[in-house]
Amino acid sequence: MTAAIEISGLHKTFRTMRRGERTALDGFDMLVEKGQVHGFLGPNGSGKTTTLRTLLGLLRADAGRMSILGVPSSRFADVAHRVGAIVESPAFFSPFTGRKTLRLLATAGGIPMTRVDEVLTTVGLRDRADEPVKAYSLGMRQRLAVASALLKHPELLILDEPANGLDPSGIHAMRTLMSDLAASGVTVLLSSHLLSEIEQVCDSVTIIDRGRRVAHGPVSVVLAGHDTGEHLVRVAEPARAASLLRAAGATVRDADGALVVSGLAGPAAISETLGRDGLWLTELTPLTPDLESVFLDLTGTRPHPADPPQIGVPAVRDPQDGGVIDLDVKEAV
Amino acid sequence: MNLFRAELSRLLARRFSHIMLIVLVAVFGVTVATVLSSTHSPDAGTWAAAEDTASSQRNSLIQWQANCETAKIRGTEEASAFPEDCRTRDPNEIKAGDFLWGVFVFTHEIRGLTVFLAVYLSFFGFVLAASFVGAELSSGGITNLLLWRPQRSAVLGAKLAAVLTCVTAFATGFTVLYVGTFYLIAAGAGWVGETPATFWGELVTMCLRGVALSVAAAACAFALATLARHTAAALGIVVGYFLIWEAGARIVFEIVGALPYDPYFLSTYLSAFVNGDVEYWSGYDGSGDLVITQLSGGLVVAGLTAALIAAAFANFRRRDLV
Repeated sequence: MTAAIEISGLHKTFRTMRRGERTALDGFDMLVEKGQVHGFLGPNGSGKTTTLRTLLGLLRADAGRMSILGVPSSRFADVAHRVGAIVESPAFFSPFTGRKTLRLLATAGGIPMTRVDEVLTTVGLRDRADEPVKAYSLGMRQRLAVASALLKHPELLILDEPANGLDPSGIHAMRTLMSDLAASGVTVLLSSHLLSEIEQVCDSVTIIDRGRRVAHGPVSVVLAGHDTGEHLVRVAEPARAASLLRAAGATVRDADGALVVSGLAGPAAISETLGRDGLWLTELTPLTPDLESVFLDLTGTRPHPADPPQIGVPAVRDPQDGGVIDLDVKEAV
Repeated sequence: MNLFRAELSRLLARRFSHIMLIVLVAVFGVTVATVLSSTHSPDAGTWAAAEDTASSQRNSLIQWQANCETAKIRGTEEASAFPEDCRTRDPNEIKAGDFLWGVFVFTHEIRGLTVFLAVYLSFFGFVLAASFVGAELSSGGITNLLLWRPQRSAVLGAKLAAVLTCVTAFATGFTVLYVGTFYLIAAGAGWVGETPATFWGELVTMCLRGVALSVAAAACAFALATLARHTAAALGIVVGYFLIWEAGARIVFEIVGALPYDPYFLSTYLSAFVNGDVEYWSGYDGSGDLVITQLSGGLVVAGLTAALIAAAFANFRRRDLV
């Protein structure tokens, strides 16, 4: 499979008189293969938008290599007609109607006007297309932004937070749109905070934190890499069950009256260990990680009631292993 | 060309453009109303009074010239009080039309009015152009366009071309309306005066210089707003320059007696360009009056505009657009 986007060793430092230097990208790498829907995740201030802006030629990289649809990003102009992109919430000219906004872009890009009505229908704005943009809600502006990115019939679609301000119906429509585009062979790079959406829609992900890639690959592989083999166990006598499981070599933690068990061969081993001593399970559930928990662990942004995570600063970490303290489960006593 | 049309459409649809247009027309209306309220058609009595005054002035001038020549021939001490040439002005140049009090005389007033128009159109062009690019840069609107046409010079160039085209077309049309209105006022409620071909030639070139100045002001504003990324910054630079340098430094020059200081001020060159050669006094060293010519004024305006535009494009090509 060939790459639609390839980034390696990307560095970007912002220098201002007042705030001095701030490194936004610190050797970032990313690979998006053609035909995929690729999720791009990271906490606020982690470098997502800086990456996209640099890729699209709006920022100048300090170092690193980037290519887009097979050409170096320095020659982005050569492939711009094949790339639809929105970065953050685009600023539209508010006195113009949605239709006129798109018609002007189509004029500037040499695109037939019939395409304007097509994309307005696609994003659900057909009936409001003749209202001025200033009368649009945030979600409607976002739909207009997506419509503008779709105008070119792009081979590669880069969308930065496309679901911003969308209502549940809009989010559902956006998810369907992404799936349809992917099915028609369009490569989609999707930056978003809606992790459940990413998990449902994307084939692969890249997670960025403080300017560096911290995880990448197919969604299933990223999730499997963080599968601890833990199971949630509920029994009538949890304290006795914990002793029996530890004696059998398991690691056991208490989780609000239930037990989180790992270290045994599988659910059958747990069931057998407890059944031998007459303890019968009322629940046995494998704890597979979701993208949210992987994201929170990797980026250190798991919230803590006493110390809310700050932009650009890692959350409370375990001093022993540098990892994030899991606040939902406590070590069993 | 498509990009240019898109930019032109945006400029013409901007509410700020409409407000500026309304303000410009309002000021024009006030000027016209003021002129109309202070003029009347000269009747026979007005003409007779003017002719009397002119005749008296002619006689005074003839007498003064005779005294001057007599003093020169006799070589008396009085001769030093007269200029070298006693006949610098022909008494027949004094016309009744010069003394039509309370009458708007087109040939007398239109030059000053045209200078006022040039200043006002320049202000209009400056604010319009600065806000056109400043608003886009500060809101991030220009980045949206660059995702479509990732050619920074072309995008900025189309924007500049659109605003300069608009300012040129508007300034030209408005100047014709302005001069035409005052001509009609003079014809209907005042006096047009004598209008030989040379008068019209000079008036047309002066109007063209006024239009050129407004276009240059728009280009400079566009460049300053591009460099400073905000409309307000461009306006601040200009207000700061005029307050600190044109007003403040001029006072300091006066206090310390550093003469001549006129060549150090941009306003001198602007005045020379629009209004004709500027003479300034060079002090007591006997070097006489010095002149900043219309040509040197025009070269300074053109040079400054070209330098600012070049700096703006060079900066925009390399800048991070966040």
